[in-house]
Amino acid sequence: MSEQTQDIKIALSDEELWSTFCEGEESAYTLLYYRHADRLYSYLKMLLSASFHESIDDVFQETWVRVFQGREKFTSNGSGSFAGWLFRIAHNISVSLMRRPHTVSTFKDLASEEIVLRTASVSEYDPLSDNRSVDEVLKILRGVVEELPMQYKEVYLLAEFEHLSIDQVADATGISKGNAKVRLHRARQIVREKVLVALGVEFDGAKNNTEL
Amino acid sequence: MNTMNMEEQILDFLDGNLSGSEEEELLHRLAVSPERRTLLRQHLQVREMVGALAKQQYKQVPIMLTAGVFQAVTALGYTGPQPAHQDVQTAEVAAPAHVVSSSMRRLISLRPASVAIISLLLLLAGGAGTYLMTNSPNTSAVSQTISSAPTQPSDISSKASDVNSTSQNSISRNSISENAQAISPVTSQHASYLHRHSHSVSDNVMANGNSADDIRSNAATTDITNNSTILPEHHDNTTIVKSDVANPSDKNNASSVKGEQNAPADIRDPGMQQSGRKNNPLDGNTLTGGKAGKLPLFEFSVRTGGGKIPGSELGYTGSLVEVRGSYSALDWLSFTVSLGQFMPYETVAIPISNASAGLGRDGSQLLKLAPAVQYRTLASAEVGAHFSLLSMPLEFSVGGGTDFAGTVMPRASLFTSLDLQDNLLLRVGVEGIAYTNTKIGSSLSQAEAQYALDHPLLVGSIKTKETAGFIGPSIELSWRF
Repeated sequence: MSEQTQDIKIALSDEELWSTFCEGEESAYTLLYYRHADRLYSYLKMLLSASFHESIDDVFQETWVRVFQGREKFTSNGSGSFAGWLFRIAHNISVSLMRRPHTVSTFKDLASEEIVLRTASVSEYDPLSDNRSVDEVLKILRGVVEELPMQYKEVYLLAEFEHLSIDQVADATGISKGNAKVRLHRARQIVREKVLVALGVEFDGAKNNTEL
Repeated sequence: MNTMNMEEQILDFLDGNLSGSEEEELLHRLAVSPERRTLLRQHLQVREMVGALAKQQYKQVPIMLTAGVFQAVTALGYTGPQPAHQDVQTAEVAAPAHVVSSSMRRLISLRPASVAIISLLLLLAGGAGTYLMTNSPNTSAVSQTISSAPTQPSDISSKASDVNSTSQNSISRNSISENAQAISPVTSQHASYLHRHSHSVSDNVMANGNSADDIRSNAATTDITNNSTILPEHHDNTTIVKSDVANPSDKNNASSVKGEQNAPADIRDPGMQQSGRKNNPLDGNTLTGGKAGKLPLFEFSVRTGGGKIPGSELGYTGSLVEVRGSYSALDWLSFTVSLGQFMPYETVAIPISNASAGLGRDGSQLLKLAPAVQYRTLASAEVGAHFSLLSMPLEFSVGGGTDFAGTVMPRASLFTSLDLQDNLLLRVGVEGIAYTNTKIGSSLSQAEAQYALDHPLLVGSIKTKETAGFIGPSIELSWRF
């Protein structure tokens, strides 16, 4: 029980670990990897599950390679967070993936009103029955989230699933904080409406937004 | 506030982004409107569902993907620790209670040299006991072994004559009957083989010209097998070592004249020599055995042992309890399968108390890598070789085991044996199991996933693999059948 032991004094925050890595302690990279790998992988699984499932591993691996190569590209002395930067890299690679032929050009393209309306429909879901199990409800919710327009989806996943702050979400997606907030609100609204419809709860969306 | 619709206000409220006055205004509007409260309730329910889905959808990175990442960065110059190449699904995070406390470490802090010395002493003690009981001055040079079963009294007579002719000492007929009252149980290597290789009761012929009838008359009233001891008046190098006396009425019982030297070939049953005797290529002794010699082919045993792995900072790194089944293919060769509980100490990621650590005051969960006992079911297969060294029966076994979780554990042992009874043996020796534990990273990943919402932080040293297992003394109780 005595092999390959390397001391890292105290690894507290991601940013401190990153600084340690930049100073030459490569064990810190391993620690950062283990700290965020599952989160990033879970995020990519949800983000790319619909049309780019086979590319998830490639995006994941490329993200970590770029992190390793990015010692000079990220410094923690600013307001940015390592997590935000990490997800930003994954976001950029995902966008590049979608710009390939036979795919949409950007997330923004996916967010056209037509697509929003189409993906917001819930016709594919079964009518609500009173005895739905938790798994069934979660399956419905997952379907709703997976079919969110991509620009809403990534913001929603980062905020709701990965618990990134709105600043980190803005960092990760490369948009302004206000824009990130608007997208998140819109995504939450879509999710609520679609889940309610899927569960058989009648509601008037227009009333929700205006008359309330 | 006025530009925001109700749903946005509710979401901001849930996110904690509203000021005090804005919250008051919102709560007032909620209080007067059931529809707005319904909207709030719906968002709360969706949030709850999303939380459950987030937990459900939390995926661990496949091990091959992690390996691919580190292979890629290694190609770019990365020289840090490599990740664990084990299935993260099988990673175990031990309970904190399993962590070896410092006081416990002190209690069991045996140095490797101490473990080695204890093991060696046990081995020597077992071997010395065997040797002394076989070659005691009080038991010298009288008995001879007849590892056959004479069927006629004349056979016994003839073999007794042979014994007499080869024996340098003699005892009287009376001494036989006297000594037969209390003769200490003695075990020797050859007696061991006799026990192993014959189910029949043996006759001990300690005769100086005694006839078969004499022997029978002595044996008729005494079961010498379990009552062998040495009377003081027979210290003139003339003693009975061990006597197994058959029921005189059973002419098919095997006869045995126990001796410190191998019996001459001519006192052995020729048929046995032809059919059941095999040479042990390891010690050169000619032994009686084999299927035709009624070898007890099977052996059931219980073994336990423990110790430490060299190089570990712990004084004690593992223990093993198992049941074993052996099959003797040859006198000197056996095959064993075993199933047991293996309890090695392995480094795993465990949570530590934030209060005492002085860290994690922000509520983050601190983790550290520390040794903790793991409970593994171990199934093994071994091949063993029997041989003798300085009249000490030894068995050297090598093999491997699996914990059914992808870890292959090589193992080896060196044992000596003592016959407690005809079919009962006590073995002592040294056992070693060593393997590379590469699950540390998986354990860390698992722990971080477990405390993902508590911002887990690792403090202390990090390592990705270690040599685990133990080398130390073991003891085994075996039953032959």
